[in-house]
Amino acid sequence: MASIAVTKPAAVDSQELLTRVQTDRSCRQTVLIYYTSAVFWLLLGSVLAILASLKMHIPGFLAEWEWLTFGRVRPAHLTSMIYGWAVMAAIGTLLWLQARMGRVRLPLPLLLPVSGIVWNVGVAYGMIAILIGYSTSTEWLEFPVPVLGFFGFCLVLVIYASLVMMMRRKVHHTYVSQWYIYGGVLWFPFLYVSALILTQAPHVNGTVRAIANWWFAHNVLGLWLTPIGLASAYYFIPKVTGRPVHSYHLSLLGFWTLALFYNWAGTHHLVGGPIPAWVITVGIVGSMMMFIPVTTVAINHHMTMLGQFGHLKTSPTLRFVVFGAMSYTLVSFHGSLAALRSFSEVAHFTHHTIAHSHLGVYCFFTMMMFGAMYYIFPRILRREWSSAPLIKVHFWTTAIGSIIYVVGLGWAGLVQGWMMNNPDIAFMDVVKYTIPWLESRSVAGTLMSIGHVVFAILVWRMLRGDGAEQQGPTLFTTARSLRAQRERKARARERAKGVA
Amino acid sequence: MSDTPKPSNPETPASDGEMRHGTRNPALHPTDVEIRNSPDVLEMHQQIIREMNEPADGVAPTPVWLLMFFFALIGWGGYYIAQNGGGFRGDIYNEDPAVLYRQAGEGAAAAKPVDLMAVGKRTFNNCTQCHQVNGAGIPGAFPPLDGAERVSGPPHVLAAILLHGLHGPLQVKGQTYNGDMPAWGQLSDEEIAGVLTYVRASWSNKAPEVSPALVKAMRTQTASQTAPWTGTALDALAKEPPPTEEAAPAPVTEAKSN
Repeated sequence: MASIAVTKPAAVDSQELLTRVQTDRSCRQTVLIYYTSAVFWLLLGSVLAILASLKMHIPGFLAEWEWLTFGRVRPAHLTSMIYGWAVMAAIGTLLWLQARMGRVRLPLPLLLPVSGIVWNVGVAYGMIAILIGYSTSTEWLEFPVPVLGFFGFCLVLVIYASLVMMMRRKVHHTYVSQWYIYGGVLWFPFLYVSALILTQAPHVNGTVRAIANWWFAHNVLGLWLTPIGLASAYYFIPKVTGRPVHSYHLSLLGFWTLALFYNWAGTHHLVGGPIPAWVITVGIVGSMMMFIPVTTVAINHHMTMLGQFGHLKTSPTLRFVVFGAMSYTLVSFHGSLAALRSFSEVAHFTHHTIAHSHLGVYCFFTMMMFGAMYYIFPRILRREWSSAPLIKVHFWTTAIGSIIYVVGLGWAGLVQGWMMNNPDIAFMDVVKYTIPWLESRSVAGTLMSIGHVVFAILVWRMLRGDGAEQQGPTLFTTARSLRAQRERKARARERAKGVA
Repeated sequence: MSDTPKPSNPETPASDGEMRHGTRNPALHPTDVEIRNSPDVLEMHQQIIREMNEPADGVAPTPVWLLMFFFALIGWGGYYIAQNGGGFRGDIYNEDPAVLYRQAGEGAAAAKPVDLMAVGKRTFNNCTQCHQVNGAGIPGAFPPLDGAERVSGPPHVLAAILLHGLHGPLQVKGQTYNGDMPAWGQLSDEEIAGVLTYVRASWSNKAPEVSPALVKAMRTQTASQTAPWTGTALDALAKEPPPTEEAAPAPVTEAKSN
């Protein structure tokens, strides 16, 4: 057998490489359908986001069409991003990771690609329903109830495929990413169905709906997007740097405390609301307890990265993943503290909450999924990304855009909260204060959308096969570009000598 | 996405068959050759590796300081729930521990008195249709409250008007009004006392407040009355002494159910 270990770490056996090739190939159609659809919904969601953002400071903008009014564009943006982009990217990633880590082929080679199409039909149906005015007006659950039929079909298949891959896995030891994925795959359908019943069933009324609504909305992030995002971070950081994860014990502690505490956290959104005090108090304590899994995961990731930060210069995947992992620490610490009553009294019902949710869903999860896609696309298609500079543009527009977004709105929200708590300040003055910051949000959103278009172009060129003839991965800094850089510097030195 | 064989990459040999029979060495593609011949092979080593081993677990122990921090956090959580958890009761909406831990006796004493002006201002929304927000009424149709003699007069008469309504001619500020005022007996004693206190202390009126106990006593005294009052009956009532009030019952607080 060929000795591959010449340029590889020791102990890569060729059987393992063969399995890798086979699992990647088995994932191709399913992951491709989920990923390309996710990118489509990302673009559509970006357009809706910019529309909604512009309407906040140009109220008359496109107001003559009722299907483009703020009350419809905003939920359409949210559902497009969550159920179109985030969930589809998550399902694609988790299926590939499952096959990879279990060293098994993806089961259901026919049904899983079909599920990707069915999911798209469900999202499209839901989006049209929202835009023509049939939203349920329950935040995060705006899709009409029949969409559950489409989603349920797909989720059953995804659960089945995950469990089958778990049972057939060739490696007895389960890796931390696998725990998170099994957790997420089993939690999310339960969350979705119970939240639908508790918010849409005819005999459930009043504050119970609000409690169920926030329990769900928060848990989508914490028990579905977070496990998939963390599974990606736990996989890609050691994978790209080639180092083992710092500590198995910390992984265990982080996973089980997330499973134990996150479910309680959602009700901190109802501070000051007309629900029994203990529901809110328990939500606040659950949020604060999130310090335990988050600190644990942060230490684990940081210690794994320690001494390996040089890889950020070369690897697109790692750059997005590390950005996401750092955002996870930040958004979670911030979320824990923001749950406290004293903080919530100021920041609640302001733009601060919007900044926080984008720090979570965008800076953490979306960036993590970009990182995963940069890794997975070349493997399932056996082609390379066509342009490293375009990947750089994608990274910097989304990174800078999201930072402007979060910092600007986060600060504006705090000041807005302080102003609203002061009865001497007229409400219109508070509104006027926020306008420049709302404009900064439109700028940030445009930057991020430019990044998404660049990413879509990269994906399109990859599907067309632009990188097919290229050998070796597309890295920010390649051997060739490093040498060119060094030669340029050497020439500059010589020129400088000549001048002297 | 075709499966036609392509020039092989280190990690993606063109087909399974080639891998199995070892007919090609996937490591020796042009990039690898170039890298190996490069003078910077050590520095580039990390960058050219297409793919590392599957991730493995390290075994570093959990730092003790971290566990101490976690235990402290859990301790805080227990304390916070005990302080602000409202005893896990469905009927306590205020997280203030004083609400939960107050004794029944203290509770009654510490209960805040009802702000009759606030209650009255809210209840007065029912009255503005006829008497107007500024209490001026509508000349010729609805009598004013601002500066009206009866408004600042004996409070039990006012309570009686609200409980049973008015019918027929009535003299107010030298004008005669001939209309109807509906009965407001469906309002609570507190709301009637509130709205009376409000109209007696608003605009140019400066009369003292009306207690819910007086309204309650008046309600009991006139319980059998079904017809609305007339102007003459009111004048007769004004000459009678006010009904005797019972001691005000302690306002219901959360603590009573403790």
